[in-house]
Amino acid sequence: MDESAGKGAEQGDGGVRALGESDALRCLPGARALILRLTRDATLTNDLCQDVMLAVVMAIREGRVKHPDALPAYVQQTSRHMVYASRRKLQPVAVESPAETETVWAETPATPAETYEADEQRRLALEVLEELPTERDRTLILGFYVDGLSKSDLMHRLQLTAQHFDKVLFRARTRMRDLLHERMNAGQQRLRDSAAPGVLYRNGSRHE
Amino acid sequence: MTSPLDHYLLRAYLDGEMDETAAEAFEVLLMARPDLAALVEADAALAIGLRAAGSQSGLGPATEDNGGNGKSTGAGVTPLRKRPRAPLGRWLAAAGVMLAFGMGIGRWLPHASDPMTPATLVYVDKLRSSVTTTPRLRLPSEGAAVLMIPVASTDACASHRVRIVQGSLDQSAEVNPDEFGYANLVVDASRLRDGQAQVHVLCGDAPAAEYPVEFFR
Repeated sequence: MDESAGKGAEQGDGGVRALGESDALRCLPGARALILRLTRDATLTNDLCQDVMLAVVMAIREGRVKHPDALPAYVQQTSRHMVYASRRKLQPVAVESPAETETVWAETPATPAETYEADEQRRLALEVLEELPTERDRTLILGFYVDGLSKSDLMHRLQLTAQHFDKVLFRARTRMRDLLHERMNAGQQRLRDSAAPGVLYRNGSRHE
Repeated sequence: MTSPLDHYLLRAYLDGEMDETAAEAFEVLLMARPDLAALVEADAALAIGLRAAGSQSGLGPATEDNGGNGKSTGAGVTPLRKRPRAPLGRWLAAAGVMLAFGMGIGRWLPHASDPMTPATLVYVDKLRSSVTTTPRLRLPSEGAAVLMIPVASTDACASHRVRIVQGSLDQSAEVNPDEFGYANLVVDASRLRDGQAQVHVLCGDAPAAEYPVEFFR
């Protein structure tokens, strides 16, 4: 995005660094994490992130956000509003719709991309689970994430200290983060590799 | 770099232990901190992935019997309901015997000093560095004071140490943080002076946190 395109790129008053549109991108990981936590839906998160970034860039261009320190709070509020708005859209409408339409809508098959994304997340989560050293740790993770049991309940059932509980959860979250990073980096590498450098090899075969 | 305080706040946020206002404030921090955001995203991704795996591959909820058909849970996990409960009765019986024994001994022995002594709670940093002024902490004129010092436990730190420095007076002790991330240190109040002091939290030899305080009576 061009920083000089909008008002946000102009020098602010009082020597404060002017806000550029690229500043919005720095908040993208935070916005993505927040939306994913609220929606628990990767596809919806991608869509909403795009809407949030668009809204924030527009706000910067129109001068509604000027101070860099105000940007994180603006992105956070915009992200929450986008999630609330998406939930309102999913509420049933007052107008009576034909039952067959509802059924068709409810049974819309997942796209190949969505299926791939879901499979990847399953695979990574299972990888994290299997890397945990003891059965008790795996049970803890399943109880916490799948059953939604509380920390105190799990500590009592598994006879764990709070410190051990936190340690296992921290280890699982850190490993998952690392796996997500690895996957993202691998994806970028694949993209670089797949760009055929035809210009570089115009004098002969690229295998020569 | 994520500090122990970051870890503490992150854990409180992810475990749902923050109220709405604190959670929103932490979310604003997330926008400026991609390193914390990555851990929040990982947490959500883990939940989504495990639930999806549970619904598809028989990696059943950890508290269910899976219909009693003896199927494996996929990752070698025994459901919690199949586990024997903690042998509570045995512990209760042992505790009863010990109590009776203790009461008998107590009647037999002559009374010594009082079994309980009062202590004054002193929060070294109750607001966890959210205020910029040095906190003034009232110490009792005599007796014990319990200093409550924020020490967030992290994976990387095996042992914490708290050091209190007041001029030439330098005292330190090993601590174990409680489940709320506080180290509770019992100190004879007469061994602390009035005036400025530095409370250092060390992870091994590395400094983890520092709290300037002012004691008075």
